[in-house]
Amino acid sequence: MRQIVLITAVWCPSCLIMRPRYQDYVKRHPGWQFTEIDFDESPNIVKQYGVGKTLPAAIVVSEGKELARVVGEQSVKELEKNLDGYE
Amino acid sequence: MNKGKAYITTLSLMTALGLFFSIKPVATVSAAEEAFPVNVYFFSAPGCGHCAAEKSYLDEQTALRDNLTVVEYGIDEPDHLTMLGDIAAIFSEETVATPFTVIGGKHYVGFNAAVELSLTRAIERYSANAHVDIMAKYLADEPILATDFDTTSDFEYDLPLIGIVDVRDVSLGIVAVILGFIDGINPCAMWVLLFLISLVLGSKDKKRIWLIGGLFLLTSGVFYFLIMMAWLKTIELLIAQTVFQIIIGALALLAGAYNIYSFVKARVKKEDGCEVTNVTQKQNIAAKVRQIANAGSLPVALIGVMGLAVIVNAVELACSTGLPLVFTQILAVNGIVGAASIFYVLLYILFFMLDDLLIFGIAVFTLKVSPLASKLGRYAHLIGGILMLAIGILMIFFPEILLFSFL
Repeated sequence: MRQIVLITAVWCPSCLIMRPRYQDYVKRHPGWQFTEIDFDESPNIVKQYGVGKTLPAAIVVSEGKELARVVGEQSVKELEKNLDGYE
Repeated sequence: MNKGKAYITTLSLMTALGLFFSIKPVATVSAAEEAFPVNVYFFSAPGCGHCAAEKSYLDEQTALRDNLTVVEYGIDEPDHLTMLGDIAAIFSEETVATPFTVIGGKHYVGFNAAVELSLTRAIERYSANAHVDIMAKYLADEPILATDFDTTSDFEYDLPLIGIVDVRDVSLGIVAVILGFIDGINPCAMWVLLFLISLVLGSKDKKRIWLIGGLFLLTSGVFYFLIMMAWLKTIELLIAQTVFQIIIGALALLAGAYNIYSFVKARVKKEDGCEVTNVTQKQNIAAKVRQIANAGSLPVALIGVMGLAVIVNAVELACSTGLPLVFTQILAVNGIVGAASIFYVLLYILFFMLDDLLIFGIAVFTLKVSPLASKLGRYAHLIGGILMLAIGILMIFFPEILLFSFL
């Protein structure tokens, strides 16, 4: 089971754009889960994931281990390309 | 974008800047070993403020140039007044007013930043080239020929890759449209509009969405208009001071360089998103937006959204690339005042608001937030940065190019 942990903020337009793209990807790929963390409301979790200076940050996790990290805005194609490698 | 592409982008920009520095006036002054004598004939009147300003300018020029002679005619003397009438007729000039200046085959009525620049160019050109002195011919009672008139434009520039362009043909209105649009796609305050839309969309109440979003946009536009008019009034008071113009130009250069750097950095790092800066401020604003969107009473929500629009635009003003300040400086340099200045600022604001109106319109009709905002904002840094660099260079080194025609 692969999990996408997406860290977003309400004040981030790119997060607004990327949220439905990640949700859509997970819908089309069985075996993937989607979790969203609010940057402002969960500072401890955000710190735990070591989020840098750009949002959104999507962490691909499997069995508690981080496999990859996708930061910022991606086109649908770029997103597919980045995530398909971890199926 | 990888590092290679980032370097190519940077190199292209540096090439573009290099081309800018190769811009030269058409009537180029070639270095001459010995300057040709130049006479400036200057008609003035007692108590004429512009005459005093021009006299001050001509005194400076005389101190700098050994080849320059200034002859002043006060029209309080009847003979000089008659002379002025004759000279105006020779130049087919209907406006007979002071200061009235004749140099070589050219004449100028009045004195302002534009005339000062034109006079300087004329002095330089005549110093380096043989020329006809129409006033001297008039004084010597010699016939004045059609070919004696100097029809060289003071505003023609030889632009690289483009050729000769008379910058007076460039409409100030087009400048307002372009700068306003580029300023508008800057994502600084966009996030608030998007967040507001995304919250009110949840209500599915189109009337509420129209009112809240529309009022936010209207208040933003009015606030921006008031700020730009205030800046314009301030700059008008300082327009005579070249130092202030150079400061604005330097700020434009810095803002332009920073924006291009931001664009290239985002491309190289492939981190095209939201920078985690000023988080507390954004959280406070987001809390206010939630309050407004969730307010049960519509009038309360509307009042709240007006206040929000003012706060957000005030806070994000510094984030804007400085384009509104530069545009108001261009208006001031062109002597645009009164109703004309209101018109051009409104035109700027209209195109400034265009992308917001588009995104809002799409949201209302589709009940979704369009990714258009983000796409436009991505290139705002690059385009705005290039524009700011170009305008900064012009403002400091070629301010005469910023003198445009009206629509």
